[in-house]
Amino acid sequence: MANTREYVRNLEGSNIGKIVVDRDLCIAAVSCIAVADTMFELDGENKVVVIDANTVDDATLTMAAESCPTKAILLFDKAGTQVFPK
Amino acid sequence: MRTFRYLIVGGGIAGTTAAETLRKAEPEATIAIISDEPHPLYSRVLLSKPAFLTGKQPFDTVWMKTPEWYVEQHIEFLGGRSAIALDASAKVLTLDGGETLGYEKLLLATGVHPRLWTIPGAEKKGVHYLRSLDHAKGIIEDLKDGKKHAVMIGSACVTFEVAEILRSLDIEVTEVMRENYFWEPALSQPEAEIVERHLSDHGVKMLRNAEVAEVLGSGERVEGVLLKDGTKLACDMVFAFIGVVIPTEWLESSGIALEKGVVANEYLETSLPDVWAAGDIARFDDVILHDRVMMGNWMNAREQGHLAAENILGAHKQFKLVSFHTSHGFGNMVGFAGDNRAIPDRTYIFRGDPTADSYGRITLRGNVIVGATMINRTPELGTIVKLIAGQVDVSAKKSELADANFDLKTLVPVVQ
Repeated sequence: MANTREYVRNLEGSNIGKIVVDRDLCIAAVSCIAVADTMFELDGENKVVVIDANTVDDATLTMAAESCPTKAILLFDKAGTQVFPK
Repeated sequence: MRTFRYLIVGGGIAGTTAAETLRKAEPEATIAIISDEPHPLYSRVLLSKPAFLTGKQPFDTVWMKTPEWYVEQHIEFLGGRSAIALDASAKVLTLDGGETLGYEKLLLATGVHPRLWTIPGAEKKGVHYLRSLDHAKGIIEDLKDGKKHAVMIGSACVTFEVAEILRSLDIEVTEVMRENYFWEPALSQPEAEIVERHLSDHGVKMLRNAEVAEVLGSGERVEGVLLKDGTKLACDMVFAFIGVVIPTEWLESSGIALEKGVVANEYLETSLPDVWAAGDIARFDDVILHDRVMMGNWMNAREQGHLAAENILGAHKQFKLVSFHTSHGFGNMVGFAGDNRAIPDRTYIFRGDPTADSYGRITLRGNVIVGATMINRTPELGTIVKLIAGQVDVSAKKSELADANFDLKTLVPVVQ
């Protein structure tokens, strides 16, 4: 993948094992931060970064990824299969 | 007449998020979305972004829902249809064409429409707006055969973004604005100077205090514009970004409270029973700002759609969000948080160095922060949002706020 950053998630009971932010797609529309401000923030390059991959449950994390207007947040299950965007 | 448990007017992010939330909670309820656009949900934010508008990014990345999604979710999508009347006592909505639909709960999430030009020649081909997917399609199509000179009207987020896109295609750009400076009044003059410097450095010509009187062209296509002072500018494209109109005329006969938008309380309830409002159309009671405001951005629309649906389901939660949004151009990012309207009771603290392209303005009402604009100081946006949300008294910290090296995070109240 192009300009991406990966974040390992090891929250107990979660089905999501990895969060990937595609920095080429991210345009800082920041809706993910509205949904999960303990997990996402903007860095100095105006891109969203994950500050802690384990702060919210799967439903909230999925909602944060779904809220992104550029689909810049990708979610993978523990087996490494992409679960969002489908 | 068909009656739906949940009827939603508006198929954008607010309305669609609401439908999705309602469906998750009630698998069997009847839900319908009425949208004046024929398309499934798409990313309105993407429309003014370079990779999309220049065709570098596949067109299909714009879709956020497929037509199949509505079918799978049993959400009836009435696309290309407009609501024209509401009878809240009978709980009936009338659509264009005369069809009537009954509802138990209604959500108004129509968004706003671009203001259309009424000057002579405004209907010519090559005059563009940019609010909907069809507008974007028209621009993408028009850019295909190569253009030389574009005139842009208005000065705000979309203008800034499209100016960069046009310059990247080597199209000459003349920006015609009624204002004294670019992005007035959303930005203060020192902030706007940064933006204007980047526009000039990239060859954008700016005509201030200027207005177009007529769109010129001997045939169907635009060939130029005539300014009120008599100046003629030759061009083959015009972008008329002259603001928005708030489409509430159809609601007037319903008796719903209107105030440049649909009035909603902190629960997003309107003045009529079983009618809610969400997104750009809602002028709502903001419990953080202690003010009745409208917020025209993606984040606000999505969150309001979600919360309105929860309240329709009976949650009775206050809408509590400091929304923010950003605009990008020529390598700069301008961020807006909270309420930055130029109102007499506001005071401002400037932060950073305009000559170093890193500058911000914090808007205060009394001793609390209600808004901020940040140019290339993005990491501070999140902190500012927390300060607005916390309604922190900053009376003893004003000199620190003006110190660009002071870490704003230290002002954020610790949440127990």
